[in-house]
Amino acid sequence: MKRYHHGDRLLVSTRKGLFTLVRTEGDGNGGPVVGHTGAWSITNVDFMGDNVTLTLTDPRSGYCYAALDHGHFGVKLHRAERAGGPWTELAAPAYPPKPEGHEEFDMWGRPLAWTTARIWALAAGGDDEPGVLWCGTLPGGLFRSNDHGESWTLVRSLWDHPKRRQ
Amino acid sequence: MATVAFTANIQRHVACPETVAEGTTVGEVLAAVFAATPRARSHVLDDQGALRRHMTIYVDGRIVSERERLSDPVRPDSRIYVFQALSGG
Repeated sequence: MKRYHHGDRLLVSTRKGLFTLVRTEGDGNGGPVVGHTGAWSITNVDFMGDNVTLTLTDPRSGYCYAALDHGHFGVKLHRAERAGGPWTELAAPAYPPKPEGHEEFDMWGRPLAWTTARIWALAAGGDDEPGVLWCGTLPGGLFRSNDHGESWTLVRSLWDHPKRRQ
Repeated sequence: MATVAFTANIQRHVACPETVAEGTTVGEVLAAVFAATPRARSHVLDDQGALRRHMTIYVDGRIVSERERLSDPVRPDSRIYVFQALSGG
């Protein structure tokens, strides 16, 4: 399987946007090239001014994923099929309807809403399961995608585990 | 039909031009609006279909009282404004 390596490229997630840094050859001052000691420079800025909380480059496909927290407007997920975009908004992992009358509280006794408040983790699946992604969220649900993040399903075996609410 | 307008701030993320839609409650009107602009839904409502915590809606100048079922009544000539709720200083 072809795998994408990006040892000379960094995606830096910040509250003010997503910065792409690329390591150039040499020391940036015209000096000699010695291994991977080139200088880093910002080559691209996406989502300028927005809170990018997490990024992932899938080594199997080369696709890039960016999780955003728009505050009032909620958590969003975007994907670019190559570095630098263009970015397309995907459906962010969403919790299923909470059963009628169901009440649940967090460890501080506050009501726990069944709604994605933050994307905490993004990880690619194995080499033998192309398209599979895993997404960990606040308030504690793990989601799986089988289609490069186009759709997500809550892993109920973990969400419904009695230990989760303890 | 009721008229629905969205805060300008949301337009940075998703196009929500002023529009008209049918419905007898806030929820029904918004459902009709989001059927035409599905990306806008998740910017206003949470996973359970309730109004997001820091969003608010006014119907004919009065803030809605029911944020989960969005059952506040709407008249055919109502004007609905969807805002983000800002606080602090």
